[in-house]
Amino acid sequence: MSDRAPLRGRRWLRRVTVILLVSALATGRALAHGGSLRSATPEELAIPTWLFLMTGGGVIGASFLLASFVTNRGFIDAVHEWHRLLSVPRETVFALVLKLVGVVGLGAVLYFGLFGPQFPLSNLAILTVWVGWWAGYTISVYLLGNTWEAVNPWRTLAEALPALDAPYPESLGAWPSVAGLLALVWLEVVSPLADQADLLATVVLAYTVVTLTGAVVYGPETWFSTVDPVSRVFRYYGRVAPFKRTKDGLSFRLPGAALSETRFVTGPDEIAFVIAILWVTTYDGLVTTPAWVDFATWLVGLGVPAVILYPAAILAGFALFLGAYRLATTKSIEYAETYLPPRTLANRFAPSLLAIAAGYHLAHFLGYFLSLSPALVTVAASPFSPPPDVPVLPLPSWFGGVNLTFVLLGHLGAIWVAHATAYDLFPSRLQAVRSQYPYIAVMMFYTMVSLWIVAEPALTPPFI
Amino acid sequence: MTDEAPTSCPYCDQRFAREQWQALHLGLEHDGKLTPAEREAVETARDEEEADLRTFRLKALAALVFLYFGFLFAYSLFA
Ligand SMILES: [Zn+2]
Repeated sequence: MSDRAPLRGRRWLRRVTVILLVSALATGRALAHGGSLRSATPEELAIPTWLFLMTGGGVIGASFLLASFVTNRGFIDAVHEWHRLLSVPRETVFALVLKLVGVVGLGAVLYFGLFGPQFPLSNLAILTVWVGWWAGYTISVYLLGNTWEAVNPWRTLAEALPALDAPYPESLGAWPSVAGLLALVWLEVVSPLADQADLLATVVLAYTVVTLTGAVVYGPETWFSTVDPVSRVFRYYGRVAPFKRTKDGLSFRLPGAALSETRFVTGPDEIAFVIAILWVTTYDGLVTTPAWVDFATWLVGLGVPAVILYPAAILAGFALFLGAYRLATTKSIEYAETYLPPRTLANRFAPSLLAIAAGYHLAHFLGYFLSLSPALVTVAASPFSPPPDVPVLPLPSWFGGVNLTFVLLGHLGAIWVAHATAYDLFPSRLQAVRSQYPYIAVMMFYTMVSLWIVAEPALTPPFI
Repeated sequence: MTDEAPTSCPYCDQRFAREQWQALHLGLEHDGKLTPAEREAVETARDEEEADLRTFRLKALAALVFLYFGFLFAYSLFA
């Protein structure tokens, strides 16, 4: 783990990863070489990097081939349309509790960030934001459903304030939230937000001012449904979850089934947001690789100002990801020989990527959340004077295999959702399969890049 | 996309690069109002699709076997 950010979650995957796909594919041999799972590390498994990366790509390709064996339209429809209605008693009371938790949480983050003990592991603000909220709460959103509309303390506050209801420029669409998401992740990467409580509280305060101003000017509904990047992240992640609130009660579907629906993503701005969610996960890890350190040092040596390095990289990578998705869509039109407009395909296939994003998030943060939640509970019990030894739960080493399973499940989910969507779009089932070739190719490439990042040692990003 | 003239659905104006796909579309989307000739075309197209799918499944199976043994081989050599 880097000394700079002991609380960051992404290092997690790296240490434990390699048990990975190996156990999924060629189990016996690799384990014979690697000794017991308990001591498995990249060195001991001694798998060359290229083979490790190829295995990742191979698993995606094999999953696609396996999915293509499911050709029964009736079965696919049944899987995606199956749902149960659950009655939820006293939903209003529940919502009130969530609102209270949100507002109290925000207050605690601001207060203890500025005035609490400044050691990261003893600071309630840092533990609440990173362990409780970004790890734990986010996991609950894509596993159980989006509760952020109720929890969101800024929404609760904004609804108590007067609203000017200025007309929101429709042409901007979701683009401000795309820019907001990229800006937030850039800030998280270049500043010690996970270590420095007063800085974290200052950023939260700044976000509060911007958010409340925006909600007052445009009205809370417009602001939180369109502009606010955090609400959008949770709304998109919530789509992966099996539960959804409907007017008849709580509806339960298979996880990810809602991703194949039509009117979820309806324009290039919303596609850009889905791609941004996926890209920022990668960016976060990319800047800690030795290759990035070398590249950045080389660029700065050439005279490139260090300050534009990180914003330029996040924008360039985002453009690259968007370009890859556009290219895949163009190719998909060609392979499927369809007269459907490219935007129809782009809109319909984008949501499946959210399953991948959720899989990576779970792989990065479940272990992190479990191991640090005792610290969160202990510090929450006595935030003013936490004990000098804050407890941390040690995790068994097989947990690395569990993490890899989540990455795989995310990809499998995405492949399945895209498969079902293609069946919905094309009359011929072979046409549907062919339409997926370019997307699968991009996905294999993306998996290999992610695995490469995960397998590289984590360094401190330079020039920040 | 091919250069061949597309056929389009008489009921909803969707265009298709192949007659077979248009027929399949008719069967899926406009099943209730087909003429006997159209119904015939749907049946033929479905049979053809089934045959094509069988061929595809064989190829997919071959690719899976190739992948599996390729990796087994690679792991035995390099891991
Ligand atoms: Zn039609």
